[in-house]
Amino acid sequence: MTILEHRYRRLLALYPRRHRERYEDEMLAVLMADSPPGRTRPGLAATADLVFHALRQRLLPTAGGAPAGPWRDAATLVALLAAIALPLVGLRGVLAVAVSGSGVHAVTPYDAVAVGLELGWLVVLLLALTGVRQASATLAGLLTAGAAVWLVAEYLRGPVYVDYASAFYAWYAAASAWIVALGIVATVGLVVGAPVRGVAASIGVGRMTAVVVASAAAILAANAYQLGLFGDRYRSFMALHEHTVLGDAARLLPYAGVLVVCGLALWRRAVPGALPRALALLVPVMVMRGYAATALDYWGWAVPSAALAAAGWIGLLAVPLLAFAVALVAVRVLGRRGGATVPVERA
Amino acid sequence: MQEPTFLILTALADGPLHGYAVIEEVARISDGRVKLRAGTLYAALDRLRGDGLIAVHREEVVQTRLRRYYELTAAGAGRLATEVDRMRHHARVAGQRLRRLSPDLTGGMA
Repeated sequence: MTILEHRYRRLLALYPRRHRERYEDEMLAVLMADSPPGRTRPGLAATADLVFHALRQRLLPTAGGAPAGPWRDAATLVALLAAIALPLVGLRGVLAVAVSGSGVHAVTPYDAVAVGLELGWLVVLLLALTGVRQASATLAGLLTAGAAVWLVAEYLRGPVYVDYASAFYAWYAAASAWIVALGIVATVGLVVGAPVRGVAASIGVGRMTAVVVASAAAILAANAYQLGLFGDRYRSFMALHEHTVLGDAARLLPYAGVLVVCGLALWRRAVPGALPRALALLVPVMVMRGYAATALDYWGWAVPSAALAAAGWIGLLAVPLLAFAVALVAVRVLGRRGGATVPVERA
Repeated sequence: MQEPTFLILTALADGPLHGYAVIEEVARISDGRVKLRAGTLYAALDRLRGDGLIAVHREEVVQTRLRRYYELTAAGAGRLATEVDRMRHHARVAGQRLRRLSPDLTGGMA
């Protein structure tokens, strides 16, 4: 077996067993025939293609042939919303630096990388809307992986739990974990969701554009206000780093508003049942964001105990998962009450 | 029907082909515009097989590598014919409207 063949086999191992048993040898023959002589590594495009389809096969056992059910529409809706929200988070970082001015909030390479990773979602959004699904999913996966690496790097920046300064990085990493979670949900949505163009077409391009513009305006306006764009700069710095239950509830309001606007705009246009499911998919991300900001406040991370820190991280994962389970039950109950949500076959 | 699916069925309408030959044939039919990759091709072949539009014709081992040939089934040929009719109808309507709009715009059309 050549090195290239071995590497292709490792990629093909990502497929579920059923698919491998049927097609692995045949696909390997095609991949080898399609590779120029002398190549020792799979090309980027071929790798992205295999990873994308292997994930699809794993997540959707009847990939491609499945009807466009409400869950798949919901996954696409969530991916679109995430691709709108994440660049806005990046823009919020740019705004924060702008209003903080020099000295109060020094711009570090870490900040620049974080903002770049978030703004990159604009490209994901454009690719998804133009129907280049595989490229948009691949880029979404790369940006999410990048955000996860950034998170770990941020976490490890100082000797954690030694003093308040290092605790800040731990807190910051925990407070940013929701971005990675949203990235994962959006990437999975792009891989398994209904085709973006189909969802956009059923909703209407004008309506879709209105939703995008309204979401952007609401989130930006709220951020500009919270950051005290028009007021005292010290307050705006504190607004970035202070978290209280009430303050965070207020911070989440514009996002709730955006969800309501989207809900009203998409109501009856989206496939029946897609909206409650989209909300259910967003619940763990929103809960993670709220939990990190309220239960795990900055000072809480300054505990000199690895056990307490581990409990913090476990909570950060377990609480959103629990909330997701509750949301799934709610979707089921609502579905029963509201009558059948029949999957709609979309040509 | 999506374009890759249409092109795969069109490639197989000429007779049974193995995977790599389908890729080459699709590239030829589309004047090099559509380059199928292995993951995309086998996702489509698996779906088309599941829908009964294509079937395995025969298997060969060439230089230790497995080659599985696929052929169009009667259902697949019917589906392709329906799609061709649909596209022809759309093209005819578009052509008529373009001619009304401006005869120059239909320069290359039959």
